Amino acid sequence: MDSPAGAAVTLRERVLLELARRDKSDIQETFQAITEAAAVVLDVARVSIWALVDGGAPLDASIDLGTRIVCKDLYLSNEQKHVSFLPIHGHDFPAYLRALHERRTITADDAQADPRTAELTTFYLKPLGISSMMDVPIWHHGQVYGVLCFEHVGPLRRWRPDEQAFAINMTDIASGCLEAAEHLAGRRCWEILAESLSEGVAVMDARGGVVACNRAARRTFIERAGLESWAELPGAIELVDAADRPIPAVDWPFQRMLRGERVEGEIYGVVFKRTGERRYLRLTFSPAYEAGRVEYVAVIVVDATEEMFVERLKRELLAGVAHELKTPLAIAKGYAQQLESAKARPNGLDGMLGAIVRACDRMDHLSETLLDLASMILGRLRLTQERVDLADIARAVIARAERSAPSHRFHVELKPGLYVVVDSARIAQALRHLIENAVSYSAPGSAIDVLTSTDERNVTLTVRDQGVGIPDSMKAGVFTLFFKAHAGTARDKGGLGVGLYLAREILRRHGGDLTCESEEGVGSSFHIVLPLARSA
Amino acid sequence: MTEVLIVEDDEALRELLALILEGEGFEVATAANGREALASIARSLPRIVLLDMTMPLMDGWQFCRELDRRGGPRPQIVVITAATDPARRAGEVDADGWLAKPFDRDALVALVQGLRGGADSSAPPAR
Repeated sequence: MDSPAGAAVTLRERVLLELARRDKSDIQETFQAITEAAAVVLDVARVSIWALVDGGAPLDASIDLGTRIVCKDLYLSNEQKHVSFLPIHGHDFPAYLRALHERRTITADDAQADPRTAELTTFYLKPLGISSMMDVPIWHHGQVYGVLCFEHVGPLRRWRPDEQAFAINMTDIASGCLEAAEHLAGRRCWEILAESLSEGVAVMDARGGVVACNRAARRTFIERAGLESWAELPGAIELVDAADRPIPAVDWPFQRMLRGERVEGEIYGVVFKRTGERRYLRLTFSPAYEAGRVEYVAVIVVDATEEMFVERLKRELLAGVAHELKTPLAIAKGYAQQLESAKARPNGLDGMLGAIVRACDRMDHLSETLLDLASMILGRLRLTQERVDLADIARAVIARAERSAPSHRFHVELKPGLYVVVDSARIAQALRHLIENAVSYSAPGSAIDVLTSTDERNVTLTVRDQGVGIPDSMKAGVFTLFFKAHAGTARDKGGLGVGLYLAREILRRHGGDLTCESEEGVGSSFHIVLPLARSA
Repeated sequence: MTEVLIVEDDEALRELLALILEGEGFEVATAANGREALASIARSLPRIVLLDMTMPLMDGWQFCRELDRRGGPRPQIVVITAATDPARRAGEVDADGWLAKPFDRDALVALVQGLRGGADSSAPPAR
């Protein structure tokens, strides 16, 4: 049979073990568990935890009477509840404060007589009937954080050494709780920082496993690849270089970093096998070494897809613009000089003048296209709004097309009175792109139809040719910037590959759209759809 | 016999070049790309090829490589280019001269005349 003392020891051990095991990240919950358990185990009326809030001077240098002692939790055994208490001030209780700074347990068996606690008598001990006190410092970072107070009500109580030892154990648990909370707060700060970054960041171990990562990194890789875990990633992607050549796995940046090569800000193309999507990512691997071996690697991922796009844009534009713009210039200048050099009025003068005018038209259209493209890319395309008859815009564009492409027959059926609210210069530009394509990709002598139709909401303007058409495999990309369905084939008519992209962008910004139907070898139809203006 | 072969994909520019050179008394043939130019050369070897570089189907670089691969006498080549660095373009295909778009009519005539005159001697490349 256990002695009462033996049973008490077992209870204390159990309580300590229980408290040691619990998650201590919530300070308030842990403090409440400590005060309550201590009150029950030692059978004390009031158990509380107080924190020293420094008045300014370092606590261990000299006693700062500006210190406040703030109640974090007070457990009342009789009422079985947790309450709070007003803060007390160091300058009101200098002896008590000085005693706390002795950093030893204050065991005041007769608290109202003990010189360290007597000054509390009138204000605190007597009104509450407290006869004996035991105050144990709670340590944190080698300093006194606060104090665990046992306040006995009733006849004087003599605090036994085993009770003091138990109390000290309880303050150790409080210290552990402070550390856990601090650790958690520190981690939380890093998490907030990492999550707020638009760049992806991750930490990998030396075997390539991802130990930690932020949301941007997860979004970039895991979500895009439709994966559950990082372990699946290597099988779900392919890496390609800037020229789109596949990179063998042994030369992936992680492997290169392991070999001691620097991987800093290099751009890799990542192809996601599931969707075929390709993103260009700028990767930096910063290894952390332990005893000369890579222990962890910090990885920074910046999406450079836009950047690569703009680079390509610049390259294509520079090369394309030079060719497209300078050829009509060469024609105009050449004919003009040919006329100048002529001794007398040469035969074919009309043809030469016509060629000059057409070359100038080409340059004009091209410069408009380039300006629109630049505005769109820079986000500075501003549309005007005019109420106009779409048939009027179409007639003007067709008249010019008939002049520049006398080779084709234009068959025009325009209903009058199709009012739309648009930037008429831009809509004309969009229509010119369609007619220019129709001329380029259909045989001389063939017909190009320009027709209108309406429903209650929209007007549709169709440009139909009897040309080469677009192969089925190319249709999906027809409105993509720099798309050329016939690039490199006998049907390649040059051009920048921006017309259809621009035309659709312009129409969409008017609340309309541009759609395409095409059959290879039969011809293509492009439909401009615009909302009709409400009747004025 | 063809003296000058004009290889240019832009029809209007091709016609203009032919008009100018025919006006100066040259025998001219035309081609719209490198492939047509090779076919034309197979029929009749010109003294001079005026060569646009950016063309569909077979561009100026491919044309020169193919010409060299086939061996035989090589006509003098004048590159017509819109590039900002035409001399470099000309160097890339080992051309005998170059014209930058938009070119000067009289410079074109002078260049072609100079090459024809110096064709039998080992004159240095024009320009």
